[in-house]
Amino acid sequence: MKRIQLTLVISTVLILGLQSCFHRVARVDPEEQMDISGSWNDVDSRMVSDAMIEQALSEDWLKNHMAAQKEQPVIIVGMVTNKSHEHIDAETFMKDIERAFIESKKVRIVQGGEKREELRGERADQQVNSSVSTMKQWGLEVGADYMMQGSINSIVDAYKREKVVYYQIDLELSNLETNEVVWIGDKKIKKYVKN
Amino acid sequence: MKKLHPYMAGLGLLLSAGSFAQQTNPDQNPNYKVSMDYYMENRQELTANQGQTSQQTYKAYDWTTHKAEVKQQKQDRKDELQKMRYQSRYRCSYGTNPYYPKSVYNTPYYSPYYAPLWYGAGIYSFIF
Repeated sequence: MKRIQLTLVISTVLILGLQSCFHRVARVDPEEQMDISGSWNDVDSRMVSDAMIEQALSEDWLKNHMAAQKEQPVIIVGMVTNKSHEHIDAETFMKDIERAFIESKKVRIVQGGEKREELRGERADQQVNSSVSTMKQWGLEVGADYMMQGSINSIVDAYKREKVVYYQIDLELSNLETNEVVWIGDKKIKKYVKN
Repeated sequence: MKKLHPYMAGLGLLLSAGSFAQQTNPDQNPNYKVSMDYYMENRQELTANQGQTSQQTYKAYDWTTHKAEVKQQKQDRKDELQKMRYQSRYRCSYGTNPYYPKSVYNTPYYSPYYAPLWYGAGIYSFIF
């Protein structure tokens, strides 16, 4: 009887001890390149944002706009269509691009979509709840000069345990008055995956 | 106080209305209002998805994923067949099928213990 009890205690201690070995969490540098499955990940998102920022802020459309209008262009972010084979949220790299634009002080960004609706809702609330001196007025929003839209496409070539995945991310800036496309930025990523 | 001339008042009104109206361009399409009215009416719907990602993904053929899916389908079919075989095997043996509650078997239709002797002669269904 005693031997059975002893065996039970030892096995319980062993199981609990081993469990701590199976589960491990570690903080890593967000800049570190870590590829596990070969799917779209943070490294790809960062590569896209870096390339797009570099292209958007250095190309002619910005100089042309400044020469014609004498003030920074205002951009609104439109929709990005993901037509690839994976679920990819473009917000990860779009936010990096927006932040870089604001920080560069060369391009201004205005809010759109759901966030703009929320702002208008708050402004409406101010009309009945805020003091007259602090309430914000209607009809003074900054109108965008350009809209940024994009698409994500992919091509997959797989055979047995080998796979080549190609992603192409395109972002476009179109003039809101004339529909003229003034800039197209792209980033191509090709991956070779062997399982 | 001097009265305002009606013509002057009309001119003032026209000028103030003109300042709010869209400034016209000599090159502007004279039918622009047709398009403008359409988009003004649908603007909420057209701008609702701004800043979002529209997911229009497709299923790519992947050898390993395909192999795993075929294996899973085979396993599912095997399980389904086994379940059906199990159900049919015990349907005849009263009250032992785990997929039916006991109460189902405790009726004259299933259990010989609950059926009267004259049930087999067809009199039971005739009376009740």
